[in-house]
Amino acid sequence: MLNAETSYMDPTKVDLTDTAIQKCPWEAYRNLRDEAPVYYLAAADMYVVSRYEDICDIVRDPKRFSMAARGRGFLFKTDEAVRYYEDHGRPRYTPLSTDPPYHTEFRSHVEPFFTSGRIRTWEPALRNLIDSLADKLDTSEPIDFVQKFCFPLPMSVMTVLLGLPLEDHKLLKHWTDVWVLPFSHAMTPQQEMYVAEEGVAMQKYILAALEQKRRDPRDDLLSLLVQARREDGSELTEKEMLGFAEQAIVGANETTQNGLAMSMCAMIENPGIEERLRDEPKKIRTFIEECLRLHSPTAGMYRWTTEDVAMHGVTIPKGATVHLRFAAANRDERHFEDPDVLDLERKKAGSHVAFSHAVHHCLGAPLARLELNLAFEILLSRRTNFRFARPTDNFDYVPGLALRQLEYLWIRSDPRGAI
Amino acid sequence: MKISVDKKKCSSQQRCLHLYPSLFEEGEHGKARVRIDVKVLTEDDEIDAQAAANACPSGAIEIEY
Repeated sequence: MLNAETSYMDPTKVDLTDTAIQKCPWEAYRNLRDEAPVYYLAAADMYVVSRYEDICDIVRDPKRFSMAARGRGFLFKTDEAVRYYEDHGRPRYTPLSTDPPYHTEFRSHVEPFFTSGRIRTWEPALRNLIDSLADKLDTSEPIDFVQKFCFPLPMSVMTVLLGLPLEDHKLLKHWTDVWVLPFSHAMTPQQEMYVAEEGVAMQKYILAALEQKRRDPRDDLLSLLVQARREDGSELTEKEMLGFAEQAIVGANETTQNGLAMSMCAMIENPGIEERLRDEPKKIRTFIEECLRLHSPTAGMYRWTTEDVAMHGVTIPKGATVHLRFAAANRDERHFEDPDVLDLERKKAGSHVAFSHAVHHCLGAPLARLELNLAFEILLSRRTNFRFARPTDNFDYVPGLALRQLEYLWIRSDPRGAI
Repeated sequence: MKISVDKKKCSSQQRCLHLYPSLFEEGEHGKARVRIDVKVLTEDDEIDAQAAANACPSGAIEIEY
């Protein structure tokens, strides 16, 4: 057993903000799980939790580990950016940053849209979108799978589900890419203002779209928001509708994009998997769960303590930021046997925390799962012999703490005979 | 694999039966239970069951591997 003082508190030991560690974090995660399961990361002023069971316990304990207790200043360091939102748009808000019982009530209005059965009704639309993007792979030339396929797909899907014109997906993609910049925790004041200006532009676009849905409701997510009624007959507030729409757009984007890219990477890196999936398409589901587990598109999320909490000999003080490192928990050998192996026979494959668990379990998980499964089903039916078109040690990841994102993934593939 | 719902832990939010109605149904007092007609779990069911257990706000869905 290492001395608690040095192993838990030594900020030089594992710095998750270090881009070299972000590129290949697995050894660092093992180190954290084994030696410092609650670890104070000085560079980001937060306590990192890395074991599977600990994360499961925390996400079921919203009283002590709150979403709502997040302090002002977590996203924006300057007051100017915050004030710009307030003066020109609405304060930046998402219903994700709330706790039960309010969160439970709010979520009950949008949950029916995201059940596995309801999401299945969108399957034909999703197949069309995936098929038209898969056309871009119909070449013997190397293509950047990230740019050509992973970038446009999730935002196209969400644009359709929201009931917005498909051609607007590029606009939404731009806004959501800007929206998440504060999570890098490394913005200049100028960048903060840019985020606020683009954020307000996005809000104005969504508010106009909500107004249009109010006049002409359809079977889509924005219409559901304007038509939702509370028990007393009242509508959701503008703040809630706007916040939820922003959250749905942002939540659908990079996460699914990373899931697609990392799954392609994993399929190529593991010999025999591609053939196995083509022979046994039923195994695609386990494959996707394993990719989500191994590569955790959302590497971590946050909570804020409402009281002092002692864990593994460390006292996390009241008001501290706690970082739940899903990517580390998903390779915890205390829960998953041979955790670094992509195993299509793994019984526990679906128990990963890639979508978190419990209260804030990803609302869009059934949509993300369907998108990922259909994408691989369609790609495997159209192309074969997927391979890297560049040396694999050249992979670059977008710097960031919460998301692990490939900047590009150059691949080649061959047509599948006469189909 | 076997799945069950711990009635004491179940908080009657019914996420599981909305998410995966093929596996869960409403039992007494609004609490969830595994559907009576669910006998043998297919591989798809097993992943759905784990997804439901993950989503349960109170950790009431138990899985025996």
